[in-house]
Formats: sequence, C-alpha cells, structure tokens
Amino acid sequence: MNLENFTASEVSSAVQGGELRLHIGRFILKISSVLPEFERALRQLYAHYPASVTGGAYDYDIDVSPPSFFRRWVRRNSSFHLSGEAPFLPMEVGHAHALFEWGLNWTLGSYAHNFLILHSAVVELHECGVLLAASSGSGKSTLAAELALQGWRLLSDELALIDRDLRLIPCARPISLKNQSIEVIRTRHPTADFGPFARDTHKGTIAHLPAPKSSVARNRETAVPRLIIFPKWTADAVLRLEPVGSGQAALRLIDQSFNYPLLGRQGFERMADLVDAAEAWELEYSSLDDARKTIEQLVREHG
Amino acid sequence: MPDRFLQAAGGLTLRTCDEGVLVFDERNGKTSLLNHQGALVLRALCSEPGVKEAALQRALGMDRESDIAVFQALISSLRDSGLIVR
Repeated sequence: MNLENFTASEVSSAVQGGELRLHIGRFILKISSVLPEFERALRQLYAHYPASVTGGAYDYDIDVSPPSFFRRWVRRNSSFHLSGEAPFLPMEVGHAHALFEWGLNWTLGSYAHNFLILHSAVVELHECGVLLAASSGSGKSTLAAELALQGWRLLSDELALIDRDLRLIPCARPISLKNQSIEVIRTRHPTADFGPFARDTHKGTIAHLPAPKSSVARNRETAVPRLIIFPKWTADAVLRLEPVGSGQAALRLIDQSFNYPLLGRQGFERMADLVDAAEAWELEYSSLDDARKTIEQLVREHG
Repeated sequence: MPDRFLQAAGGLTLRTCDEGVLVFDERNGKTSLLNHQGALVLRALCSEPGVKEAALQRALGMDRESDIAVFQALISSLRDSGLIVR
C-alpha cells in the first residue's frame, strides 16, 4: 500500500507511535514525529510511496520533533534525529519538512557506503541514464525539475547512487527548489503541485516539488549511466556544449562525491568505470528549453 | 600500460582515460591524472632495463621512508613539468 491509501488518522497514529515505515527505493525509513505540520507535508510529498503503519524492519530511524518537551508549545521548533542523534541545529517548525530532506541527504551520504555517492541529479530518457553533476547554485535541481515535468524519469535530484555493477540506484524524492527557481518552474508549469514553502531558511525560500508518480513507481528499477552532464545556468549565456575528457570528468566527479575517499580503490575503479561508460559534457545555458533540447539530442546521439 | 609497470606499482592503481592515465594511490587515497606524455615517461622508466627501472620499482614499492621520498620526488618532478594535470 502507498501512503495515500492510509487515512490521515492512521498515518498520524503511526508517525506519533514510531510505526510508520516509508519505502524510498531500496531504503526503508522509520519515521516518527509529534509535529502535525511535518506529518501533513510528509503525506503530501510522499503520497505515492509504499508505506506501512504497523512497524517492521528499517534501514534508518528518523525522528523530526522538537528538541525538548517545552519546544512543542513555546517558540516551537524542530530537530532532525537519526537513531537518537541530532547532527544539526534545530529549525523552526515550518521548516521541518525541509530539514527532513536535508537530513535524509546527509544520512544517505554518511551511511550508504555500499554505493559510490555523487552530488548529482539523475534522470533517464529512453533507457539512457543521465547524471546532472554540479554543486549548489548551478541550476541542477531546476533542470532536473524541468526534465521531470517534461516526462523524463527522475531517479534523484541530489544524490547519484552507483552500485558495484555500475547501475544507477533510484531514490526519487521531492525536488528541492530554491528562491527564483521556484517561480521559474511555477511559471512554466502552473499546474505543478508544490509542497509547503519553507521561508527564510539559511538557503532562502525552499519549496519541494513531489517526484512524478511514474518515477516513484519505478523506484526499484536501476538505470544504466550513459551521459554525464556538468550543467551551469548563466543569465543571458549563449548555449555552450563542450565535451569533457574522461579523466577530467572523473576528477570533477570526485570533487562532487560524498564518500569517494572512504571507498578507496573500489571507489576509484567504480569512478573509472563510470567515466568509461558515460560520455561527459559541460553545458552552459540560460534557457531551460535549449538545455532540455540539447540533452535530448545527446541522448539520441550518444545514449 | 605494460603489466610490468602495474606489478611495479604496488599500491597504485592505474586506468587509462581520454587524457592519459588516472592514478590512484592507495596510501594517501589521492587520485591524479597523468597526461599522455606523463604516462609515456612512466612507461619508459618501467620498460627500460637498468637502474631507472629498479629505482622506480623500489620507489613504488614504498616499503621504506626513503622509497616514498623518491616516489614523491618523481611525482613532484612530473607535476612541475606539467605532466601531472592534478
């Protein structure tokens, strides 16, 4: 059953009692909270995800609750806890769902070391897996959102998980958009359904676009990496597409990796296999339409 | 890269790439990119019999502090020559 198939009261009871299990691709999360705002956001953003409300095994134990009893009522705020530990400072209650997404990224980046983990969005078209590898502020998530809303399969907007067989492991989750990117996507896709806005965070305003239902339904199907794109949005830039050699691509991806140093030789071999298997390109653009068409052309030619 | 070099390069893993060779050093976890010229230099050092090869093998064996110093000097020299991209 998916989360949307349970009543609000069933979900609420499970979240408060620590019985909710949410399946995001290969990962099973135990999620608990006493914050109704977080629970509502969870039901909206993860409606199509497999879930159970009767407990069971899990990979990660996540709690999003006030850091102390009194903070449930006075100057309300929320903390992200992983197995009882709080790695971040508390944030206001209205940011709890954003905190959950950041915390989950941190959790996977810190503990899912059976995968090589890169800071990259991952999308797929015509069985061609495409990594959109870039640091924050490059427009990576906006481009991933645009592609997802244009029918591409979304595997992730933030983390590329690569297993030992060089398969891309899907972990489609809500796409995190910031500040102007939110308006860009809303203007282009007026019917897009955003989750609650988190305003005045340390990154500005954050809004989450739920992953397409079709992508969530395929969250257990791996993909083959065929293209690596290093996207960069620049205002008024003329579209520029240049090939990147596999050695340079590897070095750039290493810079974007969460756990490359930890994996040692195994990580190096996997990285070398990745840049052997997937052609790399640098794409500078100012128009999302141009970027999308260019990547689609690359998929046709090289995928 | 000849097998002989790979055997000599204990602790190093090499993979060819578009620009030359990617080198992973297990001892410090660092990844370097040698361009084709740099790869040829290493290959020549390994292929020619005699002192150079033996020295390199000792250096890459890195079981003594002095060996490590020799290897680092070699890499430093290659870097100064612009043969190591990073």
